[in-house]
Amino acid sequence: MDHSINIFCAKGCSLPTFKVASLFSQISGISANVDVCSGHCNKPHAYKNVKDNEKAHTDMLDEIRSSGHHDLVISGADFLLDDAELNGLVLKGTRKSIAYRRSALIVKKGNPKSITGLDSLTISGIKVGVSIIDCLQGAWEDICGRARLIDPVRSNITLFVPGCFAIINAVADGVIDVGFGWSAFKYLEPKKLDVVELPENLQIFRATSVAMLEYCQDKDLARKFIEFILTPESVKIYLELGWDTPE
Amino acid sequence: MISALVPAIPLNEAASVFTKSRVKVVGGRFEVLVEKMAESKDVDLVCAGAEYLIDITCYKNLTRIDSRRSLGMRMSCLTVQKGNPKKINSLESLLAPGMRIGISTEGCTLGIWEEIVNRSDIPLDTMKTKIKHYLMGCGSLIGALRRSDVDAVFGWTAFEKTASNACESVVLSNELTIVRSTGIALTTFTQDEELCNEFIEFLLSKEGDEIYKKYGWERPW
Repeated sequence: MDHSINIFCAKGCSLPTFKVASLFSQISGISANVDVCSGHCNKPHAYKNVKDNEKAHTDMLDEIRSSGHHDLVISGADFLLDDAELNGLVLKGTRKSIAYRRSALIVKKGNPKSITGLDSLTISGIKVGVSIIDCLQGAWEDICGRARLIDPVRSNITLFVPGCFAIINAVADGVIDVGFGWSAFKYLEPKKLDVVELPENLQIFRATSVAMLEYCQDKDLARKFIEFILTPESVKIYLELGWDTPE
Repeated sequence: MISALVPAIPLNEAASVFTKSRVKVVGGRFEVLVEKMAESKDVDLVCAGAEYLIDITCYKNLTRIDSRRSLGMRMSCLTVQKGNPKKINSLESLLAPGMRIGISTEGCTLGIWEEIVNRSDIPLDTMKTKIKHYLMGCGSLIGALRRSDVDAVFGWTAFEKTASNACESVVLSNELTIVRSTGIALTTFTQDEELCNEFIEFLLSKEGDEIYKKYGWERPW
């Protein structure tokens, strides 16, 4: 293949993105390489306290800047790219949303603590985990704020982690009883996790978006991939793996 | 203590009537203040306009999870220039030709525009074309309205109380409203835990209620 395109993808969005990239390569003959976050979140047992949490507090955008060679980014929340656009990391006018994820509670397979909804998270002794970075940053607050349950839920937060995979691992390993996550997580670890859906009025939605990066070597090719990922055929792949569309 | 800029307004008023001790409130961009505090370690209390900001300080072992309290809630809205010259009355009206929206890339309103739009029927990409200014925090959002750099920002209803000469609120339906908490926490290096807790109790008292409600915070308890 003469050309290739390099995509940096948030790990939680990588399952459908790998499939779309593979389809793109098959159809166009152009290699689409997908790299996922390799930061703290991605390490085994990332939920364990590290000696210097300040240094561990790096996000997806820090990783993109460090590697400095990707053409495109796929982010698990659109707003995460606001700052990147302001600072020129993301090229203005190139950002497009692919599909949405809706918030849910993530529990260990079999739901051993019988979590049924937000009220369950206020019960004494329930251990709750939240992410402090990337697509899940602040999600717990926006859900609990709608329910006016900030203080009661916060009093059960026992774990802050850097990223969505750290939440998944902490739930799967029984370090916490419940994590704030996305309903799509059930496709990532179907044997280890169950999802407890929230009522519609408490759900929040964040978009998985694609955008061109300042390091992009071939803008025409990058544009071609963006057009491809927005086709109904590609979006369908995301929908089959738990994403939603506004319709 | 350190505080995000707008939450420092009720805090300063409360501090002025708190008789047990002098409370010095340093207001500013929360992220910058935290960075300085991590070096100096000379702060007893931190206050931010969203819980997620305090989550990060907890993760960095700068504040204590068991000390955290909510001082009140703020409701999202569209904040427009005083007098609403562009006659903005809904999310849809932001799509009118020539409309200029401002959003913040940090602080308490981070990402609220996305969550509000995602709860509506308006495609995110359509709304994105109207975002003309990426701003840094609440003070910067209000400043942009003051200078007429933008026609609307995604802000809090409390803005019209704390900056009544510059802006007013266009309230959206409950369905399209995001609620975030203004939180307070003790630092892990405070030298006077008892006094800090007394000040927090004062902020949560009836006297505190009056101050926070006057500036547009909701106290649901």
